[in-house]
Amino acid sequence: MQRRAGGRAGPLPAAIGALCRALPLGSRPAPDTFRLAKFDRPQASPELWRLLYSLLKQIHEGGCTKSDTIDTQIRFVKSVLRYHGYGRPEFYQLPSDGSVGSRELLLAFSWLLHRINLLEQLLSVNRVKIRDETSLCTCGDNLLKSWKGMTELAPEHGLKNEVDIRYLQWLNGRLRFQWRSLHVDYQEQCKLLYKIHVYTNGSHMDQTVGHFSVTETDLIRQPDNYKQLMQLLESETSRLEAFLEWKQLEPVYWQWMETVLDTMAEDVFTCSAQDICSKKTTLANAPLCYCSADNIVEEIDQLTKDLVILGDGLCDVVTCKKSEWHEKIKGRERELLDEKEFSEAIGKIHKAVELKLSELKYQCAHKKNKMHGPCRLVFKDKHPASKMGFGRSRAKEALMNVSASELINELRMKEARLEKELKQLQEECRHKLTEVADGMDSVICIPPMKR
Amino acid sequence: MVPAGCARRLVSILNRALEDCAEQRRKLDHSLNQCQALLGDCSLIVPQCLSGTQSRPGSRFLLKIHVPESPKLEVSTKSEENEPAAKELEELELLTRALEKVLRVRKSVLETPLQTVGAAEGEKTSDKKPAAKASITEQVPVSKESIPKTIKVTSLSKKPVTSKKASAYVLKAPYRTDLDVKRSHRKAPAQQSSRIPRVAVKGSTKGTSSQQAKTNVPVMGRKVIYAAAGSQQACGSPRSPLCKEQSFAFGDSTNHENSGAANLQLANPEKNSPGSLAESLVTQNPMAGDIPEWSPTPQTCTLWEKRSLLKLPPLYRKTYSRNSRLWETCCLCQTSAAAAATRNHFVERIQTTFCPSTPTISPAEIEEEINVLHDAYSLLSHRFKAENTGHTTWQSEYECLLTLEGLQTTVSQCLNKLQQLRRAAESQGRLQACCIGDAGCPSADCTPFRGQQCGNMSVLAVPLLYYSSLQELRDITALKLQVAMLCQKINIQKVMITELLPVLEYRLHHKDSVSHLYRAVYTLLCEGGERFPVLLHTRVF
Repeated sequence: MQRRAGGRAGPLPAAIGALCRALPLGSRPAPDTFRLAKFDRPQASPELWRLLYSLLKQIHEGGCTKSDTIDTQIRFVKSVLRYHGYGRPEFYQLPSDGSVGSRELLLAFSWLLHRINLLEQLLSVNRVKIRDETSLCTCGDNLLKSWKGMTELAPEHGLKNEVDIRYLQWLNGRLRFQWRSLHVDYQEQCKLLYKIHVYTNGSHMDQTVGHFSVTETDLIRQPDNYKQLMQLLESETSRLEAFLEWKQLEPVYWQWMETVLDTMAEDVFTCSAQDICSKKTTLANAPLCYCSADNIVEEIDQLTKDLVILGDGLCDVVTCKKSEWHEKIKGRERELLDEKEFSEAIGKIHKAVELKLSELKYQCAHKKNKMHGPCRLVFKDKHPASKMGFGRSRAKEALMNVSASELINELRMKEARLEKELKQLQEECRHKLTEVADGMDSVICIPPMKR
Repeated sequence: MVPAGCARRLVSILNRALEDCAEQRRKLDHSLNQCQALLGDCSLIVPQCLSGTQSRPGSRFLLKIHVPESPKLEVSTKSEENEPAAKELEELELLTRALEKVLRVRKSVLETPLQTVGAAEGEKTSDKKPAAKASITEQVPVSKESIPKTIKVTSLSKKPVTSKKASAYVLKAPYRTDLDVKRSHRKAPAQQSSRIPRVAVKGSTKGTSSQQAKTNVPVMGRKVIYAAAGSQQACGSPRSPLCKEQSFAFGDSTNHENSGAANLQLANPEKNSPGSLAESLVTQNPMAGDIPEWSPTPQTCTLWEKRSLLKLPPLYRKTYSRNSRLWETCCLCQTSAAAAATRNHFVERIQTTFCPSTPTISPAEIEEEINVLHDAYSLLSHRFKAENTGHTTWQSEYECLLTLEGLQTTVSQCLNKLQQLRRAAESQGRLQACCIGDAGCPSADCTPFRGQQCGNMSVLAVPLLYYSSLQELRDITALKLQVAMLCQKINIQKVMITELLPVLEYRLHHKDSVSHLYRAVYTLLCEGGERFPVLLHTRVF
């Protein structure tokens, strides 16, 4: 009977079924949960909290921690939704024991489906790693990520007294050494990886790749160990099928979601969203919940500073060039250059510059995905003898793909910039410390020689 | 001494960084092990494309990376490294003399400055004995190893083989020869072609002895290895031209023991004295002798030999093709117009119920926008630099002027955008005040989490990164690491500036003796912890 509520008994269960099957195996809800949630049945809410928690955890932390208490889970889900800009106050007011609110959760889930392309993200994140992957940037690096939000650090145990500065120096030295070892290991890995790629080149049936990945080579070596991998692949395949199915049936789901909103409107007599909001604004300025907001402002300020400096530099150069240019023009006028020819040339230059600038503006205003995120590492022999893939959608692929030299250039630029930044910081310190040394009685400081 | 409060932060930040590194190394170790296992039982013959890369200084912060490759290289790197050291020494000498002069003028020699100078010099001098080091590294392992080797060599009969070919090979480090020889011996019967390898061994031995008879023993040892390699090659699968043209090195057999030894050396850079180096080479020998994965079983064949026979299991091939086809379909799959319309209608409806003070831009979007602007900034400054070079014609000059003006407007647009973002970020705070649940303290509601992965994860297609040589792969990896390291260094630097400078100033203000602290702070803040300033006390007691 309830099933008829959506008005489309056939397609709706199919759509919800496809949606559920497209979700990762561990977090799939029972399709019936959706129906229960429409009528805000409390029995559906724990499952929906769990669902949201596990899905968002996969996207935001790369793995689901089962050990978290329901309270922590709920807080996490709320924080993430806030981060994505979800603004229904009713949702944030749900109790932290997870006992009620299934309809609110259904709404939030559906909003996420659209807003952050939940399904696509989940598919990407959980992609079975049979390929050799690397990332194009370093922003995803644990090393950096964990650094960003570190304003206040956990107190180090056993550090009640003063610390000898030499201990810091020692730690710093150890860190440098660690980086070196990392470098050695990485270089070693490159070598091995390259060998595997070269040796197996031409053996793979996938023509765009042509060689085996580490996982695949291992598969040949120990075929028995790969039952699990095959299972994962199979399950991914079925998820992808479900996703395609979902894409077909999607409209049905969204129409049904509208009926959920209608049901909610009927049920609500209590205060409207606005009432709740005005009540809550009386709360004292609460600390930012979204923890890195502080850092964000800081980062914005830093970037603003950099841009202002750049702008000033530009301004100086432009003024200088402009006056030079005017001088020259005067000279030209004396030479009585053919006016028509002159304006033609000027027009041409204008056009060229416009083109150049519009391209630049586009690049500045749009997310440049190209050099970010994960990618699949592929060895391609430079020699033309190696078979190229079939011509299917070559151009499209080329748009997506990156060549090593491109990436190396990009990284070099980045490296140079960072190097400069560090040098500058050190230079500032040197300056300050020289001042300090000047203030010291009867001590002469001779800085180490420049290399 | 540094007060506890400030030290705590620094110590924990450094410890955190160390942990991160260790974590990364653990992961890497795992994958290294896997790769080695894959190549492991087959690592005897490897076409080496590294020859050009060996001396490459891409590894800017690491001169001794190739330690495991062969001591020969090590030596050459050392002597390069040597050059600046010698120069520095000269300079140091000059400085020392200058200092002495200063001291003489002051007519008093204090202990501190002398110690400092002495220490600094000591550091340098230990660096500066590579000649001795080199010779010793060559000799020490030899004495131990050459004996069994030579025995083996002599036990074989002789047959000439192109000694020309031999010279094309990079010689093997003496300390690993033993292993390789043993292995070829064991392996030969297993492959039931005992004649061929033996011939090969003999042949090259002959070639070697005639060529190198007068040189020292280790060279012989190395040659034997080459011979072993040759034998392997002979009994292996059909040769590829690659094999012949490229030089062989045994970098491949570099297994963990070796890199371990390398690390060991690196672990105490100051202990880089000849003795320790030799020691590590020697000690690693016995280990190398019985690496389990090296004991060949009759069926094990090298990945290299097997490469033409490699085939993925049919079931996997089927699953793989189906899977990748589906990925492609999914990538191309577009949301239908009907779906988009209904979806948007729902989303709009639900968003009308949002708290009115909800900013139009979410924190996630702010982050994303900032990343875009970061990229824009680097692009703009790059263009600025590129544009600002000499122009010869008036046309190009005019073009440059116009472009720069364009850049200027773009910069101010970016600045406007940043201002908007800042406002939005600030108003996020107000949203919290509005929408926070009534469950007690609002800060308890806060759970830190990591932002989204960068890159467009909502697009299903994964880009391919094409590389065509080992060098490219190495460069990418090294640069990425370098970038990550620089980011970390900058972070640490900033923290150190805020923590250490005030301490120093405070001490100074209170007339404490600060020379030690000063020196330490100076080296941490200005020299990345690598070099020290010299402090000269001029007061006479």
